[in-house]
Amino acid sequence: MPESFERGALTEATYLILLSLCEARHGYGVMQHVSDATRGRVNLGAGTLYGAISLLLDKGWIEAAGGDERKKLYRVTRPGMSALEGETARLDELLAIGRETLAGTGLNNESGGRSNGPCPAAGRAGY
Amino acid sequence: MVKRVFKLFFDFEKEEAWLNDMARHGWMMDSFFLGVYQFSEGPPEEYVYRIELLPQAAASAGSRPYLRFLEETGAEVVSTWFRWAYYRKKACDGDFEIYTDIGSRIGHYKRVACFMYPVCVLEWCMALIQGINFFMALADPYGVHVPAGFSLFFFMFGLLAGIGIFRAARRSQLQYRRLEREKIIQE
Repeated sequence: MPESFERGALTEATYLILLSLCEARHGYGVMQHVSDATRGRVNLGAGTLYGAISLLLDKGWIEAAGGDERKKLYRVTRPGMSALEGETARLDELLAIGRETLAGTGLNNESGGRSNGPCPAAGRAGY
Repeated sequence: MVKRVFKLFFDFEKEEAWLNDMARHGWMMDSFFLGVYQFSEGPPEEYVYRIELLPQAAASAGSRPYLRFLEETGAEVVSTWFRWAYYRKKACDGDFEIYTDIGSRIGHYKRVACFMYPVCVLEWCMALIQGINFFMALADPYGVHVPAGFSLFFFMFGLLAGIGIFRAARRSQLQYRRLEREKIIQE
């Protein structure tokens, strides 16, 4: 069975939340950190973040790290850390394949323009 | 200045769009009760409004930590109505979305559809009872009944409200189906 069936790829939100909890933060701190780290590209909604935090707590990937009732602090746990490392390795592999393939098409290297490439969609950002 | 508007919405997204439209014109919603929205005048576009269906009643112990969390992020809980919650945030504080990825948006649309379909059935059951009352009152004008006009009114009301609720529920269902397909290829 491929690895991704046993331990699925993390969503972008989960990955960024886990990363920002390498340091103890409260919910709003995570929101701000994720926004800063992605230069405002990813702004987590409160509903999305709250849902992710309670799920990660259930999974044991993060834990409470003090703070008062109003502003609970959270921090990534050992299993959470290994999930982060696993995901980073997976993304590394993905990126390597992507860069290699795109370089081969002559689309994404420094000298090549977009005009002579066979697959113009690959260079388009977002959706 | 304060303004009160009576309006019935079945679709929370249309309601949300209307509240934001009012805010654009300088009317900030302050409270909601039984279809009556109260607005106060303010600088246009001061707030962005959002509406959410909570998993539990807004006043319950289960919802409180979440609502507190929301307020911690700079949003304000303007009003709650059973499981519905109305929020606003200063527009100058940037984007205000409750759900920002496909997974959590699917979850919310599903919650709305699961909540609305039973309410729709309930409305139609009530309409049916009123319809039966109406015909009984017609068939036996001298018996002791709820007045026929009264029954007819609530029959029509239940029927139409049920249709409105059904359409809103259907829309949420179509939305989450669309997003579930989308989720196959992207987050």
